[in-house]
Amino acid sequence: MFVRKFILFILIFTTISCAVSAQGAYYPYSSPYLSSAKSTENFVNALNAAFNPSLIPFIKNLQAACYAEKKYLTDINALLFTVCAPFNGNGLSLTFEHFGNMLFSEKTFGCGYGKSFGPINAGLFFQYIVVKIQDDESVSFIKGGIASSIKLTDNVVAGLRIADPGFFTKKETTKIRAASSFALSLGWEASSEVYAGIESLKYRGRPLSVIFSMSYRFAENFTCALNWDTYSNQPFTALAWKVKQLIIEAGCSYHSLLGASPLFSILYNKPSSL
Amino acid sequence: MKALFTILIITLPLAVNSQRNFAEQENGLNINQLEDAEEDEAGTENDYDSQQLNFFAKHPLDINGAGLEQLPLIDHYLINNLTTYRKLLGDIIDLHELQAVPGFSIDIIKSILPYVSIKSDKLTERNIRERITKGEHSILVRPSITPEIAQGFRSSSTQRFIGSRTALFVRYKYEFRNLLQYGFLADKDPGERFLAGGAKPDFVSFHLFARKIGIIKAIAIGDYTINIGQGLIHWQSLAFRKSSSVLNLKRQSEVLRPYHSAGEFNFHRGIAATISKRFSEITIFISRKNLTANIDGVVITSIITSGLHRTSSELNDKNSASLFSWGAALKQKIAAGHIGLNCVRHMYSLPILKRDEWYNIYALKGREWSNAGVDYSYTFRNLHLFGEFAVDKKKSYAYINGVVTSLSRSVDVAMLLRHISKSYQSVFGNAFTENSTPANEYGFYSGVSLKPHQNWKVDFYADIFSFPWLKYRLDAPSGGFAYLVQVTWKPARQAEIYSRFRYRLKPINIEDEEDERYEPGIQAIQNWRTHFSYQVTHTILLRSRVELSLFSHRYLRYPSEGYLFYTDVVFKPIGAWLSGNLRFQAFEAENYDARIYAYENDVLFVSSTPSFYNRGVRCYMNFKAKTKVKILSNSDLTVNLKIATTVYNNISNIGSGPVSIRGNRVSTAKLQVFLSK
Repeated sequence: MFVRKFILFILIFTTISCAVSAQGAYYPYSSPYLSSAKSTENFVNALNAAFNPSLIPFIKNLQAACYAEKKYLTDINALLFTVCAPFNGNGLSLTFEHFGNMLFSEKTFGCGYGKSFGPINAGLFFQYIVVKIQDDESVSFIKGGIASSIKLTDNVVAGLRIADPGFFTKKETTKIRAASSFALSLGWEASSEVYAGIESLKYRGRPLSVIFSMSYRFAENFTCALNWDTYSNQPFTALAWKVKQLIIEAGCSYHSLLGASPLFSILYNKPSSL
Repeated sequence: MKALFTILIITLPLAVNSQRNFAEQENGLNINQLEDAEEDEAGTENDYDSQQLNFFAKHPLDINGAGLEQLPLIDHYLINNLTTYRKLLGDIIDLHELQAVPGFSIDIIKSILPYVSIKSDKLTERNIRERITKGEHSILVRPSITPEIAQGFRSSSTQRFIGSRTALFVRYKYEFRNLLQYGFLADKDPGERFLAGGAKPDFVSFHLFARKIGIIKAIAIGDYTINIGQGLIHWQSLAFRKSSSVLNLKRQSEVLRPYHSAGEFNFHRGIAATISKRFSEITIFISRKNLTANIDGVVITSIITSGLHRTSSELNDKNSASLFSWGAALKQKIAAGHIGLNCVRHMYSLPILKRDEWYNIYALKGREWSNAGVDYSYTFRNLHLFGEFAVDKKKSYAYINGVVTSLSRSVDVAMLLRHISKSYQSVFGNAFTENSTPANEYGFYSGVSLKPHQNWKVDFYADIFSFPWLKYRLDAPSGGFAYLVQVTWKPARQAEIYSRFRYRLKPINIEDEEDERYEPGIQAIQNWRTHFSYQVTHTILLRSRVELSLFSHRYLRYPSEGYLFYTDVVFKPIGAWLSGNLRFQAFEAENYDARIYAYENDVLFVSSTPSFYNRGVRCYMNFKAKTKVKILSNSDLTVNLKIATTVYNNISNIGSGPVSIRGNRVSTAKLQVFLSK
């Protein structure tokens, strides 16, 4: 059963990937640390669900989170705020993201909806992206996509995410648009403390990127994480501390030539009402 | 009660899996690691580990004893786990009980089973007389020849070899358990002289090594190796770098080891001792040995480590300089770890002054060099931490810190951070780095080993590195990375298949053929290998491999491609006197850049991983006969014979320079006679 489901997933992924024509497009920023990591029920959080709405039904309570990253210790910052509200097997998430500095900025307003259909979750997302370069007019466009997660076994979840597939685009358009992207992921909860996941992400016009992620809850309130993104060749490490309803996480990514990028996040998890 | 529990419960699954372990091992060592070591130019002629394993196969180590660190197959993390287990539950009473020790997987247990036992052997009780008289003698003679005549042996050659075409290796060793050993060896490579015209063998080595004499833990006279910390300041034994054994990144060895191998550079010659008292031990060594070096006037411009002295000019460089070294390593054992203080100092007979190049600005210079450092290891719960911090004579510094941890029964992780400043230098350094020596490198490595299912294993590593200064064949500071993923599947007890993909981006000067100039660039090397093993019967094992390689850089219009295929038939009847293996191999690689390495079975104690490019086929036969003979009152005689031939069909001249061979065929015949009592 597991193998059949997995083969079906691969087929969907390859079919859709091949159906897309290659053309230039804008690549919005997304941190590989957030977009790929953690897709199983016990490890997922609102920051991951902001990128993959099919994960929203895995979230039990209202969560709010903010994430900040200082790229290579320069003035380029990435900031993200998100709220995720689950209800009766459905859920909504709202996201605001900023990336850039004084000369260049990219602002994203996004919303996602996820619904559970038993072992399969499905999700929809839309993002309104505004790009501004100093002394130039700002440009805006909308990005949309669908996502799905399937519980292959109790501790393995496969995921599929498609954004802006090219076959909805008229070829003659001259407007800026987001590059199509297709992601296939596999998350495995090796134990209640250990999570390992892998995501292959293909942006149109870019080489395939593989993002490997691991999380380890080494004490009741402490979790450490290691991710590796093969597109930018950057490892990400982080340490998270759970204090009552808050999870505070600090870490950094490292680029061999550009250096380190510290990252920080706070996540609030509303307690369950008994 | 505990005995019943262990024997009834724990032995069951292992008994079910009691098929001989045909995983990729040769002379007890991991073939994948040996292959990767050769590719990383970390290969060595030091066969100490193979010799040790051969010895432990005859005299297994006591699993409850203190000498487990001598076994090269298990690391300190596992030894610590075993020690903790024994503290909690008492000594191991059956080897199958090892399955209950955290970290000891079935594969690891199978690999060490031939070399360990539960029989205690109080070695220290042996007196000196017994050590000298009741040991085992062994003699090994290994001639080999290439029938095709290389250019250097022809009278028309401008670089004519002065010796014969035969290579010869002779080694005598006396060994009493692990407490006393002495021996000598003589070695000549093809083209070198060996007792011809009164000349002595090209390389001669002698060692006397004893363990456990009062407070002296080990003492060496003659040739020995010193291995300290994580290799930042000194490491002379076999050490691996990145390989598909993704967790194997820690350097571990006894500090002082005897040396009796064919390599002519990586050892010391003199006297050394390790003195141990309770939780402290100190190793002191002093050495002086001759070097083969290129001399320009009164300075050494380069040191030659190949050990080849075949032509008169190579022979002129022999013993043209000397190196005097001394040092000390103090180790204090603490609960669940150790801390060490180390220093080494080297004095050359002539000052070193390398060629005047930009990349040599930070190279080792002058007559004297010294390094000092601190190393540590510590186990906290399921984390094993280790590292080393070192400085050199010019106060340049380097550090390595790593962690190996088992997160759950099915997930193991290793990470290593290295920072070696551009001006840091060491004479015998050999650390876990991308460069062949620990210098001019920053990097971060992580490896993960997953066992999602009993029959599946996924190994993954990623390494990112940068070089803050120029290096040989790289005219700009740069960086690169390497990834490997290997999926192993055991569909049945008799079969194993693995497929691995490796991708490396390496900075190097690239030739722009249009402008006929070199400039710094990045070369991409991809390898995809699928390997299959199948135990057809108890006697016959089949192995097949297909490997593809792809090499590219920005000035190449089309990438260079390589392909290699081989099939092995391994014939090994249980208890029979004769065993052997055959290989048929086909390969095609457009050029040297797209070359593919493949491990070959060889005679006992020899590991061989040649690279293949151009187009051709290769076959070899390797036989081993083992019998008892009446010499020296019932000795074991082992005879190995290897015959190999490679035929190229797209070239008419093999190799270049004095070792080149006219024609398209090159063969080797190697015979080894090993007599031991």
